[in-house]
Amino acid sequence: MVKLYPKTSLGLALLYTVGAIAWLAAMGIAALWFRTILLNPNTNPKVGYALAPLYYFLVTFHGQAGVMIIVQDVAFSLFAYSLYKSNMSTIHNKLLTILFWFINVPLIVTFAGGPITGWYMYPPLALQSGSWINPMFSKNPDLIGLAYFMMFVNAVAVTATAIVMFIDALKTRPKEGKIPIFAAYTMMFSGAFIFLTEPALAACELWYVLYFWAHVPVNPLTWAVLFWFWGHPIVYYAPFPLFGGLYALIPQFAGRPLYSERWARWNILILFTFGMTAWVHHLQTWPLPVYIRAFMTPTTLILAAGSGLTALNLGLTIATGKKYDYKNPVGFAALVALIGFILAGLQALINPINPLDVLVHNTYYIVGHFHLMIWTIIIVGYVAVLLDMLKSAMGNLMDLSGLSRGLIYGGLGMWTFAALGAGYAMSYAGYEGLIRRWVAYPVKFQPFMDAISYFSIMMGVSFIMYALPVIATLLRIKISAFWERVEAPSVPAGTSFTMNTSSSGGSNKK
Amino acid sequence: MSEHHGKDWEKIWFMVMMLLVAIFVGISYYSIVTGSSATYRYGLPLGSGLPHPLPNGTVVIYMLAVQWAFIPQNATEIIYVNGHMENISVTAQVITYVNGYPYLKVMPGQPVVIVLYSNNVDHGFYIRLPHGAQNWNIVPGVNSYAFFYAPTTPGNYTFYCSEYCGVGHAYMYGYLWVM
Repeated sequence: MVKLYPKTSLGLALLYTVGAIAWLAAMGIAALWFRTILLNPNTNPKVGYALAPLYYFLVTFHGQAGVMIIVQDVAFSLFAYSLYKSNMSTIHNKLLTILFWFINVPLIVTFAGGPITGWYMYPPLALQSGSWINPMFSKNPDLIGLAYFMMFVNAVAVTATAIVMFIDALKTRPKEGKIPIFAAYTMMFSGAFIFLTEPALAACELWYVLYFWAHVPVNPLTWAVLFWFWGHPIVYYAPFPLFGGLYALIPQFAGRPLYSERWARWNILILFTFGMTAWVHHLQTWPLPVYIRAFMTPTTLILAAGSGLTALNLGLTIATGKKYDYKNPVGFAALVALIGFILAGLQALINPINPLDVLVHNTYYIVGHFHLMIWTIIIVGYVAVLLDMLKSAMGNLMDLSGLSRGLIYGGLGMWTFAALGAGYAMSYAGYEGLIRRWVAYPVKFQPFMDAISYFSIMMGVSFIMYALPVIATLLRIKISAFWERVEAPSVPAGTSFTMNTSSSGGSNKK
Repeated sequence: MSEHHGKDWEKIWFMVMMLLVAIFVGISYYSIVTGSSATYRYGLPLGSGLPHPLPNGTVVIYMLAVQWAFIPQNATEIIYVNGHMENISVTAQVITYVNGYPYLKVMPGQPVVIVLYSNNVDHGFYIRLPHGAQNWNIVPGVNSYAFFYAPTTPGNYTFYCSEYCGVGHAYMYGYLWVM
């Protein structure tokens, strides 16, 4: 009997993982492709104009796959897994599986048109005809409208998934006591946070559909404000649930309870509230009233303080715990994610300060900052949770083999080193004046571009290293090479203090 | 929270954190109000932040952004005669083109206003000056204003489009030529 849809929360979490990895691989290849284009400054306009449509399509694809599919897949994977870990569960697995396909598939239609709008697709640019390769799409307004409609379908599916999972979580929450911290974070940030902000994107896309199908005019400034009401919160869809994941995992390997669970729970309120009000910092240089742009300073700083509190809480947990068990791959990945998050966060300290932010706004400085955040807290942090997820899927009598461990330690180490190199090179170049989204650039930036490209290639190689055991496990290829049977269930240094997990708890869930 | 830490410490550290936020917010607002950055010293889009009255000798350049070029339309210089502001056309002296790219000729230290507007898509205006950056978005239908003093060191300073505006985005630039 073919399994048409996962019957458990864990299965659902793995399904979202497969979606995320597939799109991540595709968008990563796109990134490496356009980095090869950027190895040349393309100062000859004839060359630049010839390359530009391909370059801008790859940039658009890279960004849209990231923010419209991968982030949501990761967020919902974390949501489903947190429920599994917390003795809660998803209920509407069939519906969620259908929605999974509606999140992951429709944008294929959009990408087939070769859009060159940039992922933020500001009007009126995004309303002009423009395509990398497909003239049929670019000349036919109805087909451009269809491309935006497919994006609208994706956004509606994301919103619906967040609502369904949130309701399922509410229905299966513990009858007594608090909701475990991991599930509390995912309920708020993979659930409520998404279904409150994703509709703004759906509205933006529907507005475009109506422009092409019903000639409804689009106001550029209003559209941009609406878009960023989603466009900023989206960056938190994955990391904030991952904070919950790290709150759950790090204490297990530090051998003590979380330093302050109260901080972690207070933080939910801070991150939730100010995560939704920090959007204006994307419009810092836009002709908006001064008081709105000044508003970005307190909101973004409070948010930064909330993130800092997370790092402090986890850092103190490690510092005041027993010897941290970094020899466990999950513990290692969680530790690397935390260190990477701190190093990535340092870059951002100037951004909430209005007079300093304008020095780097729209430059590679920002590109370096957010990529470093993605490469550390999101990717490495997610690898930590995913390895824990795979361990749950394989069973407690199975452990990662020596080969897997080597690939994971080496891959994550090299990945983080290269990510820091690429991220800081991007930011330094941005501070020196390298503007974003240039297919051609002044020759003085070529050493920066070379360095970024070489670091990116290093990241590509290291990604293959640590993804290999993960993908092989998901596809069940030569599984014995990547997992080995152990004598007794491996018990981490200390049991979980923050979650009511049990080795048998997950097996009998819906 | 473990038994080693009193609940008060959690509250105290939390308050310390919020105090740090308040200090940073205060520094940011103070620097906006007193003008410690080139962008914020006078220039806030919508023109509200332009100095009133504009300094004597200010060159005002009207700059149209199109796909994909900056096209300076005309330039005037503001001088005061017996307290009355006069606009003198200086288009021919200020605006020139070299190899198809616009050059704006100004004197060292001269006050400059650039009125930025677009007739098609969103653009940006970014110029990195020795005393800070000017960085504005240009939205169709809304004027943005850059006010700054030209660098005192003669030379060419490049201004760029900083908002992706289509395939020619990277070739949309010009020069401030300090004579």
